[in-house]
Amino acid sequence: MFSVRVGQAGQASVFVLCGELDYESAVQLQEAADRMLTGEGGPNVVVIDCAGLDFCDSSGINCLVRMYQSLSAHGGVLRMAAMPAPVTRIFTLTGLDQAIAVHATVHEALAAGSGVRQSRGEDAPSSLRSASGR
Amino acid sequence: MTRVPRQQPSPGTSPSPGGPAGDGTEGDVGDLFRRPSAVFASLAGPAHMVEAANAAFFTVIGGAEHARTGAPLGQLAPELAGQGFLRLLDRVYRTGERRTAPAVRLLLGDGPEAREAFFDFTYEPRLDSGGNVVGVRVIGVDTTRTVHAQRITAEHRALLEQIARQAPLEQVLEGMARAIEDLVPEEVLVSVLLAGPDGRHLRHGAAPSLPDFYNQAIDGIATGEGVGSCGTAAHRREPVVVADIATHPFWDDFRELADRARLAACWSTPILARDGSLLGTFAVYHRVPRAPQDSDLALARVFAETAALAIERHRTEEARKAAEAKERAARADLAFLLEASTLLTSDLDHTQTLRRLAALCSPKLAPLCAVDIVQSGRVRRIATAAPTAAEQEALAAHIPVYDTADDAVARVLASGLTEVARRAPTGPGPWRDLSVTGYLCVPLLDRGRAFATLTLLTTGADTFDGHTVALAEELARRAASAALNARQYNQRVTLARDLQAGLLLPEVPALRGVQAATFYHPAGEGLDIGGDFYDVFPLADGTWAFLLGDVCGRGATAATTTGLVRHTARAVAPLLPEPEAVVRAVDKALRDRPHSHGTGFVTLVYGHLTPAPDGGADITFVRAGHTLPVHIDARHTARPVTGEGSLLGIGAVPHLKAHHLHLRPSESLLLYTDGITEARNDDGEQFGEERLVRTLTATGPAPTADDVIKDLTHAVRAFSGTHEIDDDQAILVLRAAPPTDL
Repeated sequence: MFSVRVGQAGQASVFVLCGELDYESAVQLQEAADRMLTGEGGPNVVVIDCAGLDFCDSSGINCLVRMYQSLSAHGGVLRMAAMPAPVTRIFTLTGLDQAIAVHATVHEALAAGSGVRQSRGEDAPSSLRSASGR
Repeated sequence: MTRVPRQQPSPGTSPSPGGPAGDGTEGDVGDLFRRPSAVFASLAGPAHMVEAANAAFFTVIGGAEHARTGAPLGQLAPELAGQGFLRLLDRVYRTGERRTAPAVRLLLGDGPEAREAFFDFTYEPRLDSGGNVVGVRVIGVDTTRTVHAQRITAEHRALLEQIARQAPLEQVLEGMARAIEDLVPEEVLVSVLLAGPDGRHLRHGAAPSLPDFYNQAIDGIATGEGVGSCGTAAHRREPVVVADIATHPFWDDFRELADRARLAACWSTPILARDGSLLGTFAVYHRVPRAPQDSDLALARVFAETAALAIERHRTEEARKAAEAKERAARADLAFLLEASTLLTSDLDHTQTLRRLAALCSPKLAPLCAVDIVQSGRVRRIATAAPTAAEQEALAAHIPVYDTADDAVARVLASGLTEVARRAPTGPGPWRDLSVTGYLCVPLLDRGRAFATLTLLTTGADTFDGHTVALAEELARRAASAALNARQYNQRVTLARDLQAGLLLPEVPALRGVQAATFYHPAGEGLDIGGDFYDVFPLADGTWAFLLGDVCGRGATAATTTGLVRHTARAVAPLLPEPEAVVRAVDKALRDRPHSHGTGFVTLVYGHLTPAPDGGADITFVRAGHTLPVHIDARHTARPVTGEGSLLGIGAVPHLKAHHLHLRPSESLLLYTDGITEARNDDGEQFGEERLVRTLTATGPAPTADDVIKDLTHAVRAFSGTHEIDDDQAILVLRAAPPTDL
């Protein structure tokens, strides 16, 4: 079972994921992301709230990477929040934690900055991890 | 009024069967139909001596020759004695009481001349001046006509009922013929002829009393002026009376026939439908030349109209049955076509589809059937169907020649048009052995060009009618469509397989001192090319490069990305000393992809393997976001090899690190894609990394690289059960050869 709810927090969008993100349910997240992120008027900061996420496999990773690439193309930024252990594992296994910031809470993720990035390919993992903004 | 040539008793009136005609013609003495009359006789004494009587009385008792008075009635007309007539006279004489006797039936005359007559009699006692009975006065009114008319009406009603009840036409007509023959006092023979559909010929309908030879001779005569009574009546649409066959010119051609059948007169009335079209004729034949009275003609008209009713009714019924049969046949055809379509499209094999076509056509459409296709410029007989194996062999052995004009198959292939004929096909072939009497050759078209033909052959008397041709053409259309779909599908599968083959290693090269084994299973029925890949290739100095990885997604884009990864690695590896550099180069190639070539990320493990002096192997590898490699030691304990590294091709510069591993002899390094660990069973559970490690640890003694693959794949298959595999699966095992192998 899986569900995705999209909410607004100021300028940022928050995707709340619940349940198991796998081959069958990834399409729901994909559709929600397509709705939100395609086009110029999309948000600059997207936070994925993983507190209710029990499971994530390669299909889920696939989806998150696509969201990351969509946002990056327009200078936006993707941040993960409140990832439980199983999800953290696959995140670090794929090394995505090197490209996408991971925060302990949604609040922290939102506070991490307005998300304007200089250019594609530039990434400073350590600076993203700190709660204090740039 | 009806027009009757030659003799004509009385034009101008149209009497009904029941009323008096009163035409006043004398002569034709025996005919009571024409002359209702009163009879009168004065009888005297107990012997009923005829004292006085009128001519009619003498007529009744037997004709002019008996006309004399002074003799007892019993003597004058002995046949009356047996009929109770005299008994009644005796009673009146004895009792002196007046008596009436209605509807007395008398049989007058004897032998073949005997005829029945009906009278209403009144018997009055004759009294002398003293009031004593001296005799009996007889007054009788001839009611024969009335009685006959009543009978006819009753009979007519019965016939109408029969018609209303939809009794078979032959029954109605025959019953009608017999009824008339019975009703009419003198001997008549009735015949009903039915008009053929074109109205130009008359066929035998019913003639129960006419001899067979006569009916057969008359059957099928043309309608026309002067063709007997019936032919002329049918032609003119008016009654035709021939009172004397011997002299009438209409019977010139049939006189001898009529003589043999002892027919002397023929009165024919046409039977017409309500719209005036001809249905047949109704004829009354006589043994002696006779002309009809108005009542006769009227009778004929009534029965002709009744016959018209019966025939029209019958025709309507036949038309309704034909329409129903046609509708049933159409429904059956449709059901057949639907079922055939389902069968034809149920196979994704081109050849099987065409074989099914032959099986569907025979024996339903024809006993013999062959399907030929064009392949490489020649005609191949791909399917045959026949009632016996021997016939099927004979049919299969015949090969149509592609480009000769005298072969039906060749012609149909060239023209794309159906050919049908009521003879065996021209050109050589097993036609005599198979007793072929007709053929139908239908093309199967691909965008207007014939690529195959369906040939049906009949034997015996059957022919191909328009309906069968239409059905065969429709079947051929559906079969062509099904076969083309199957072919397209197969071509796609072949294309995918060919492409895939070009993207995969055909076989793992032999590494000195190292056993290598691989497993690859793309998801989907060959229609989707996989995104999993692996490669093993030599570098300098006995070092080998190996890699295994996963492009996210499927289809042609993922496949070309696997090519990009492998070819980039192969190209740069000899030039760059470190695995890390090779992987970065791959990442750069991915990032430099034009968007049209895909944007999916790639995970992989890439490494260099060098045989070590101790017989094992030294491995340096980079893990770019891929599943953890598994190390299986000499005691068959499996454990994942950790090591950081992020996936490639997402735009961010990947964090990559080289890791080192030494494989002692008989130790293995296993790489796999997540199609293995994410394989599910029907409960939705995933195989998982833990189960993988357990399975690899549990293998039997000294597994070779192939054994490891086998054990793992068996375990995954057993776990998945009936659940479909929905992701590509790939495994690469590198095993340092055990000491004994060195």
